[in-house]
Amino acid sequence: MNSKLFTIAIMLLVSSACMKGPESREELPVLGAEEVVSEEGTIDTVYRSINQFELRNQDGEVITAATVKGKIYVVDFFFTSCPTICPKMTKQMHRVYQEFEGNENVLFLSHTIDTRHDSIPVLKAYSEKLEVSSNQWHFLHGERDPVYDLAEQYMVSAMEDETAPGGYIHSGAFILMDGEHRIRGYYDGVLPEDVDQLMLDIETLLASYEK
Amino acid sequence: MKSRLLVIAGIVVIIISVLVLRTCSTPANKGKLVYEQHCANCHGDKGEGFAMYPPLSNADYLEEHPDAFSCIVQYGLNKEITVNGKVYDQAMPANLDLSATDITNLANYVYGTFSKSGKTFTQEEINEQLENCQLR
Repeated sequence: MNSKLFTIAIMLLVSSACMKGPESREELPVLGAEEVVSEEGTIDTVYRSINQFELRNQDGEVITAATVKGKIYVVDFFFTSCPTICPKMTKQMHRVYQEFEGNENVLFLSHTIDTRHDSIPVLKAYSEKLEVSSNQWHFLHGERDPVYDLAEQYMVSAMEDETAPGGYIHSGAFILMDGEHRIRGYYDGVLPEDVDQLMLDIETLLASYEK
Repeated sequence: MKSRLLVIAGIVVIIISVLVLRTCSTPANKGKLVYEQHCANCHGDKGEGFAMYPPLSNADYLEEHPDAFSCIVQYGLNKEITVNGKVYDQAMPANLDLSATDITNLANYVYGTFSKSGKTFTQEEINEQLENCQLR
């Protein structure tokens, strides 16, 4: 009897491994919760809100938190000469862009971490080759320190490393943000199935704002 | 009872080995492995290219420059080129860690998979190309 159960368990394990795929969720969690003790001694939960930044996009326009307030936006960190994961990330982000192209409530913020080489004209050329609208997909340039601090706030890694291909190490994560600059999801930007989930989650988040 | 246990154990072993074999049994094409590790991120799994990364599949540049293949792979390319009528200027990085044998396998995989020319390369040919690279 036990071995029968064992066989069934194995079968279930195998079939569940094969069936894992993107699923539409009713509600998305808010990530980055921080507990704060108020003056009266009560404990409150405050969610991380990334609302202090000032960068320039591929057109040289100033982009701040106010630009994306009330919008749903997807954030990533990359550099244009990256030979490793970025091309895959860019392809996947482009897929999401195409899905929501023209939807003014969905924006994309791609931050370059190669602040020396990736000047605004370099970012402009990059975005033109992708044939994307600079009103919807912002390729962002800033000073090195504020950009790296920003990556830390988004809780993803970004650093210079001479030994790495291209000279930088960074996370391949896509971060889903809501209208209050809160983190609502992390997705592996090189995995198509993770990015499928991101697209479903954007729909979920959009719907939650329509209510 | 014992024989039933044996049968069940046998089934479990078969299931597990099928699963394992399915992931590991594909015979490794060395050129394909090099391609997947060093080229596919930009040029795509099927050589289709993307935006700033030129295609390899049915690319006229590939047909016209078989002599430049190994030098471009080894030392990268940092100039504007035209592929199938479209201009590309994204710099391609060097792959200094690839050996002449890796590049021979890669060249045969790329031309064998993405080109209709049927061009093949010998190790000697690639060695000679690499010795005479102008980009070095």
